[in-house]
Amino acid sequence: MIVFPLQGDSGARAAENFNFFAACFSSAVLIQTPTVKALTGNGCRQRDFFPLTHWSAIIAAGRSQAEPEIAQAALAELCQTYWSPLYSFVRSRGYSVHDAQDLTQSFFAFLIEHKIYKRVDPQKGRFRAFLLAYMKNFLAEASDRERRLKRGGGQNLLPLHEEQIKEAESLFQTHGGATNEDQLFDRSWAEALVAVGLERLAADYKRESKEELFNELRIFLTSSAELLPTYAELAVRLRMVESTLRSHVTRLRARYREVLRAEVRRTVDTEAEVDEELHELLRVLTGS
Amino acid sequence: MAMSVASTVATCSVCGEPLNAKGECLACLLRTGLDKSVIETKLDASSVFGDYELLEEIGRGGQATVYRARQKSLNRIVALKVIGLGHWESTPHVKRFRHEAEAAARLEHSQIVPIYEIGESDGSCYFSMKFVEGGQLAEVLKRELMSTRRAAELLAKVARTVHFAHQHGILHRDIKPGNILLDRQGEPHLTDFGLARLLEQESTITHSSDVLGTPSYMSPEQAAGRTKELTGAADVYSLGAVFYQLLTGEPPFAGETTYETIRLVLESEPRNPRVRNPKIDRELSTICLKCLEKDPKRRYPSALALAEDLEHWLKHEPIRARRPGPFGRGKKWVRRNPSIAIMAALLLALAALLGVMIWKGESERLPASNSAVREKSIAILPFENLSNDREDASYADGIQDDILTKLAKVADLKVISRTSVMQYRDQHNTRDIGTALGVSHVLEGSVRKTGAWLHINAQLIDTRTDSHVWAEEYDRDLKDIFAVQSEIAQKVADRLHAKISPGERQAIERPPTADLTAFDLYSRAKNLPLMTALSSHGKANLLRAADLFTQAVAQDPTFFQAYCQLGWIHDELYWAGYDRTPQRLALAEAAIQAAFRLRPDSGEVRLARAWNLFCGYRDYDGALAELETARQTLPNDAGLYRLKGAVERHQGKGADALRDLERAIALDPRNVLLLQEAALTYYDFRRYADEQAILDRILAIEPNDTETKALRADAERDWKADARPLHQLIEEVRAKNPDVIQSVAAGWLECALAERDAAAATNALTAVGENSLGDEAVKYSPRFIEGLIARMTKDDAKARTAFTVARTEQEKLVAADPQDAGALCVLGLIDASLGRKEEALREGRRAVELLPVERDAVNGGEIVVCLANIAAWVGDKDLACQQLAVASGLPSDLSYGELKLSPFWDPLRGDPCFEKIVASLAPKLN
Repeated sequence: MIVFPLQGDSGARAAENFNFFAACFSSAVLIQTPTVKALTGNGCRQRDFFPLTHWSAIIAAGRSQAEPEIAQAALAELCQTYWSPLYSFVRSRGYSVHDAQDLTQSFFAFLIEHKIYKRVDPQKGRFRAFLLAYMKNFLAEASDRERRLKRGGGQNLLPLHEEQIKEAESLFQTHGGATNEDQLFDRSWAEALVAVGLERLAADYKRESKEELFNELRIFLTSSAELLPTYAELAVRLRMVESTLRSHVTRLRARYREVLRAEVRRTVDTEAEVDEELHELLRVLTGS
Repeated sequence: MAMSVASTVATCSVCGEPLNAKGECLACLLRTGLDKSVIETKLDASSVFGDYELLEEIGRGGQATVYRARQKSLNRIVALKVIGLGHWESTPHVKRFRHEAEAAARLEHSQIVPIYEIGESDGSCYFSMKFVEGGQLAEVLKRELMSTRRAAELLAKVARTVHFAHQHGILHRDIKPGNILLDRQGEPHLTDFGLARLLEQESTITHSSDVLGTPSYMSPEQAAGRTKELTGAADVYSLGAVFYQLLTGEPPFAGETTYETIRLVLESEPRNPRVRNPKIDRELSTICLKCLEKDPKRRYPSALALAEDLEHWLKHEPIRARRPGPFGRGKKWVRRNPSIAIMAALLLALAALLGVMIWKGESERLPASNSAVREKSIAILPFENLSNDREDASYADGIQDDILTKLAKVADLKVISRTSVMQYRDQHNTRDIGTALGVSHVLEGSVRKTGAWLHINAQLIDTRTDSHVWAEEYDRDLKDIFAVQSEIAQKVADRLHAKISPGERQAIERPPTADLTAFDLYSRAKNLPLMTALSSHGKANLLRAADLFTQAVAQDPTFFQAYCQLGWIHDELYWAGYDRTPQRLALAEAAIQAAFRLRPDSGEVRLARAWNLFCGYRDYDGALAELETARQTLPNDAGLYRLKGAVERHQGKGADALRDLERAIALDPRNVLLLQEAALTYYDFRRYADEQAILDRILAIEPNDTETKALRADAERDWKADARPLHQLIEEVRAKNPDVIQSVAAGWLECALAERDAAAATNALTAVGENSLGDEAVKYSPRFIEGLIARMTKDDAKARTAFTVARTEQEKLVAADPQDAGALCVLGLIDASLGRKEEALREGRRAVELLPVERDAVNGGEIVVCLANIAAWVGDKDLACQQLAVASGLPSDLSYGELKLSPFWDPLRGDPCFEKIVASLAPKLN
């Protein structure tokens, strides 16, 4: 069974998780890790030599153009990241907290065991749409009792930390008033996306021994003008020249942009779709 | 952000959307993803970067971007390389960068692009260098392929430049067409020295993604991440890769993904450039491939050595590069670098996993195709005959044969047996031959005899690179022929670095005979097609060969090899049934004795004795003992393993037999007879699917061999009691190829009998002619078959007549050789059909006593079946079933199809015991 201990820092962790595969397929390590790292907040742009994003890998495997093990790994990793939107969706259907957890787990087990990558139809949309459609089918088909049994008899597919669950639950609560479940799903998805982007960026900065800097400047990303300290104040506090501070912030925004787009890229097939996906999510969020 | 108290949700002041629980505005964050103004590549509107004004982006790769820029303070145009965002901001990295860049900057060479300044601005590292007009080599290459001469010139210059840097302790590590700039005069300038190091993480494979750019030009040691152990050899490799591209238009390894490319770099050999572009000079190709050796120690020792070799070539002087020898390939290098070996092994294991082949757990199976080329393996191809006089044609073959025999004695070499190589007469596609026969080298040659002079030309070629390892010409007196043969064999063994024991050396130096006439006779005999012993010319050829060998030993009574061959010929004549008389065996004995007297310890005479024991006396244990001794000094004798396999088959040791046949086939891959033995062995053990697979291999060698096709179709009859495929084939043969009908006549007959078609059976019998049918031990005369057909149609009178005639014939056979169990039990069968019950049973039982199963599993099994047959025809069903039960557990020709379809077993039909046995032989549903 694949075990993904989900801890806070899923961005950095994801790379380590593939040590599982190192045990059985070392070659998988060679593909996975570059792909993961290539798409982390590194300012890496066009990479001609890493053509397979996670979603592409899944599609390619379905067309027998890539190895199934890779596709499975990619699918697993994506599921890990976007666990909470799925959970929210299940909750919105009226299942209890505990049942929703179980069901989400079973769903992943189902996807992975049944080699769902073979059924992927790129015409029908991106990963987000794919997961939602499958989740709906999954919920519709099986009965309550069966689902609980299918979970795999006690094995934790995605053992979650309490915080993870709490966060997902509070996320659900916040958006509980959403008018329809698809919207709820998309909204949660956007949350997850943004959150993982920030996590990855934080991890990058930490690796470069700039954790503090990131923590200070983070608000420039997430909040709007009024709450922010002035450059002058902050520069003094951080003991740097104002222009340097400015460029740090600019760079932070640029890097975040990269990271976010990279994260979206993992779930779509081509570069062009990144914009589309972002636009779609925005539309859901702003109701426009 | 306007924060209201509790009851209303907080909203973002920029866009008005509600904030999330963490106080973040999702919408704004998403918009950042779409916001193009945030991109800072242009480093704000005025495109200023510190002291530089950015004019134009001229290149972008991996982690860096290159601009044409104007340095404001000095007002000069430079090339500015800005290393991308990210890691470079941490202090240790920046320090290393500066250190490397400074070291590189100190290199002053007319063909190294000088570095002007190194610095850091706005958190990005950069360096500025001389701007070279003309562009990258990579760009130039896209437009045109340059002449090989120009390529050599260019590379020689670059190599010298690289050498200069090496002398100053700087490795480049990233030589590729993108780093070679050409100025307006077309002179090369090398850039980016040493900087590749910065852009690597610490050397663990998991971080190999950060290695700059494409690994197509990267040495294997670099691709594997062993950056700490790099030497100048890594740069030499890259130079070779660039050269490869200059010559062929493509880098030596280019996969679809980086992973794929790295795998190719580590595992596969570069295709010979001349394959892609035949106009490339052989020597240049050698130079190029030498740079690309996987083992750094096998490359040029320095970039200077490479430059010098190129320059020599340019001046038309001979180059120093030794052709890649037999060691230069893969395996040994991998052993020295265990982690790479492990990775390579894992990659291969993964490949194997994904291309899984299901192996039958129980027993052996012969490899589906010729396996990988072994080191020190050679095929000595037929030498070309250039003599004017047709009489002299046999010299070429005689010389080849002798060299082959000599080299075959060297245990450290794998030498392909003669039958397979003779098929390549006049063919020179050494690569294909190498692959087909599984050899790393071939020896080719030509012979011209004029009067008493011999002109011999011999060349040793490496099949993998199609390059000469050694070549020599000999102009000698005819009487020196044996010395020349020894010399050639010796040279070849040396070039292949074969370890030669003193005994082997002696064998190589020893001439086969002192008498030229005897040698000529011997050569002619060996050239007869003897390995098609069961064909219609088989007997004639064997007799002719016997005659020639006899003359040869008459000419030279010390001609050891001729005696050995003679013994074998006689044994073969006996065993194949052409002359099954004690006189024939005596001739064999005499020859073997003579050979024994000459060289009692040699392997050849032991082998001859083994044949003799097998063919003449069924002394299987004795034969094996002799074979064991013979094997020590005959390491490359396919015939030895063939015999061993046959012996083991007869002893019922299926797995051993197949293993030894496999060895024989490895030594003689195109020998149809060997493959037929393997097919027969599978057949005996009722492994019909495997039998068919082998027959397919024969058909791959001889696609039009009707007999093999018939055998293949016949397997369906035995296996599944389905005679239709065979029927169909026979129809085709009769319609399209009637002149070969005799070769499949037996099958035709089987088919007709199975279908109870008397008319067809009679026709088939006519086609069979005067040959007997049946197996090794049990043979039926045509008269017997007539009787059988009549019996089948219940024409009792006719049956009686035919069988009576048959009986007379059979009695004679039994009288001629009372020990012949097969003849005896057929007599019993005839008696059974004539109603002489007691005699029949007595004859049958006696036959079983004469040849018990313990003595010979295969032939003994045939006798048991025959006894069952007798029992069936006399009405003793119990005995019949009992014997059939025994036979069905043995390797024999008793099959499901045989029992179900053949009229031989009609009297037993419906008997529950019989039906049970039939069912037990039915094909299992998988």
